[in-house]
Amino acid sequence: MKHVIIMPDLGQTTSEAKIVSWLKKPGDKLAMGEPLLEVETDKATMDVEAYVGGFLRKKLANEGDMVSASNPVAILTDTLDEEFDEDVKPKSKSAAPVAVPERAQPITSASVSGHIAAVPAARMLAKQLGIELSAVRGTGLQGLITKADVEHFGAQDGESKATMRPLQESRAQEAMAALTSRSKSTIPHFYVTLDLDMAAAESWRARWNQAHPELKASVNDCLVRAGSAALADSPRLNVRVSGGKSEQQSVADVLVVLGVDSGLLLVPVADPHADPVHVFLQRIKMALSSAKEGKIQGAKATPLLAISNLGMFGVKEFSAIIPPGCNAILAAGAARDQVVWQNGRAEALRVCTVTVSADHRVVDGIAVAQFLERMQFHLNSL
Amino acid sequence: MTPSLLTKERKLGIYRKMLLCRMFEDRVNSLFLQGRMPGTIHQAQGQEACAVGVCEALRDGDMLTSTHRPHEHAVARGIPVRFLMAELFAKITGCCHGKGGSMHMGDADFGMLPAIAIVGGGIPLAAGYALSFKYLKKPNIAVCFFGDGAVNEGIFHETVNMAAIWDLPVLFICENNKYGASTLIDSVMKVKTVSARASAYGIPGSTIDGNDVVSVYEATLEAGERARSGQGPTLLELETYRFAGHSRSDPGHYRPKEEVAEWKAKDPITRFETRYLSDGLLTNEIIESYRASVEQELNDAVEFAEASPSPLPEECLADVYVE
Repeated sequence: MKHVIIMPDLGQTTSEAKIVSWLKKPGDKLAMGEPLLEVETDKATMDVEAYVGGFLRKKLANEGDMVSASNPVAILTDTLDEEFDEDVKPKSKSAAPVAVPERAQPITSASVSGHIAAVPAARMLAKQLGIELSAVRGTGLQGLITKADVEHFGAQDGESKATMRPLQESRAQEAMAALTSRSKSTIPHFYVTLDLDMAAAESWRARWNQAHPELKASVNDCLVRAGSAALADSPRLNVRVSGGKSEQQSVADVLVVLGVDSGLLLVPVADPHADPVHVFLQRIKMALSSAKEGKIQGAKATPLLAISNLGMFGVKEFSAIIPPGCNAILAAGAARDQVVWQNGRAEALRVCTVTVSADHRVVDGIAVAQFLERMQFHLNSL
Repeated sequence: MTPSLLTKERKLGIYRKMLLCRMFEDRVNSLFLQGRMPGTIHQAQGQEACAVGVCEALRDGDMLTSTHRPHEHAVARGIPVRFLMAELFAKITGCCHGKGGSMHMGDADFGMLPAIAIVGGGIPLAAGYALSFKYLKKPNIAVCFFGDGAVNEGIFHETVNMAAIWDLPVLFICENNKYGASTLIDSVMKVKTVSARASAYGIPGSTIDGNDVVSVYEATLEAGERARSGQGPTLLELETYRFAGHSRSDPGHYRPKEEVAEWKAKDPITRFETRYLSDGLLTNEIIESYRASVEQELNDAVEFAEASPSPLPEECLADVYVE
């Protein structure tokens, strides 16, 4: 017998999900309840289990495909070699014993006394995309405009709109688009750039890595640790401001920006300077590797400083957008050799150019410069 | 109370009811995955001993309130699964005539108010019922289930305090499954147990192994006797675990795999089977026949639900307002 597996309605604000990976291949046997594929919703990455046991015979969608809830994704059969037809139209629902009259036409969204009914996610997306909500046809309850309606409208209208992004885009990217536009439009950014002297840090790193080949430290690890220690020394920067009140933080958590195939991940690391070096290195490696698997740990961390690093690409310097919730983000370029004229002669220095973007509602340039001074101190004393 | 108070028939009944709870939830999950059932769901697999242990200790006329995770409470309270399944299919034959759905399971005629999904929402209603029982001199008690996430709600403190000073016949039953959605209880509560808070109100409180149905039953019965005899409320904390995520949108990645495995090893149904297979109450034949009859009962419920009519648009305000 043939069984059609559908995309369940797993999302919180949308009813579609992206197929991340197939966990089985055609011909594989599955027990009832066994995960068949991994999907990404607006909220999380999760498994879709088979509601019935059998053999996977045909995949109806590919990795990377966006599939709406209730649409078929796979065909299973009870035995491996039985014939099956590929018709996957859902069976008609059992006929109700009493006739159900035609539903009243849904009230269109614009008709309710000037107020346009839309879910908050739809409003936000429409604002981002510059779409007038009154032009969008709502398909939700009583003409309520859903996020999918806005996406649909945007896609139809997309050719002419430079801001429109394709629907296939990953949820991570979509979330990043929302976060960065919120941040840039609400936080008054200013920028402070400095060349950090990396000589001491690099020689510490060389010694450490030789002694601990199993637990190597990267340049970024050094920056995160020194940045956290400097934050702890900078009371004016390490302060949480919300609702008109400011609260001094007793810890110095750091948000590490991690690039993955699908976009950027923000990985909180709790108090990186507080533990002994080997504990810190184990923790940051664990946090980054589980983030790559889609699991963000450190829910208790409340970072006020983010660190982003493009040094591995040879970038000399750049500036970054402050993630909402943080007071500043430090953007680091590559550590490089540079000849400078000092003390009356040419000297070779190992430098790393960093640019701190900071929130001017919270700190001023002097506070950021003092923070960088402390960071240099901690890099020298790793 | 001693376990000997539970007759052989009673124990078998309890076992079948736990199976019905579990298999109901599993069937609902399967229907959800097949796209045959609308809406999301909050499932309770793993918490059967709480639902069944408590409900077994209740009498006719007692009133139960529940949470956003009410399926097993409703099954354990004895609402026929036909009506529960029809409610999930949003049919007029459902226990709330198809207007409530998953998070509002319940039927006052069966001694359970339609569940309230607001965190802690059922707690004051149970105290209200208890006040009416006391006022009308009825021998009944009101019982509210709530999760660990509810114990930091103001309404919990206000209600327990008021019930305590008035000696109301109400049981406050916390199903502590460690996580309020994704928040670990230890991160939002300084005391080690929920039951420790009972002393602040001057009422008895205890922490029970919520995966042992007999312990849950005995503790509820004892607390119920106190309440019925005018000695006021009790706070019971049942330590348990939900096997699934918070809802179908939640894969539960915030829980370590080892922790989930550890609790699955404490599965209340498997524990009951192991215990009573060895002492001869259960046999593999009984287990098989119960599973088959529960399967049949659920098949019938799904058939009933799918064949039932949907509510008509013009009926949407019926049962909403009191004249």
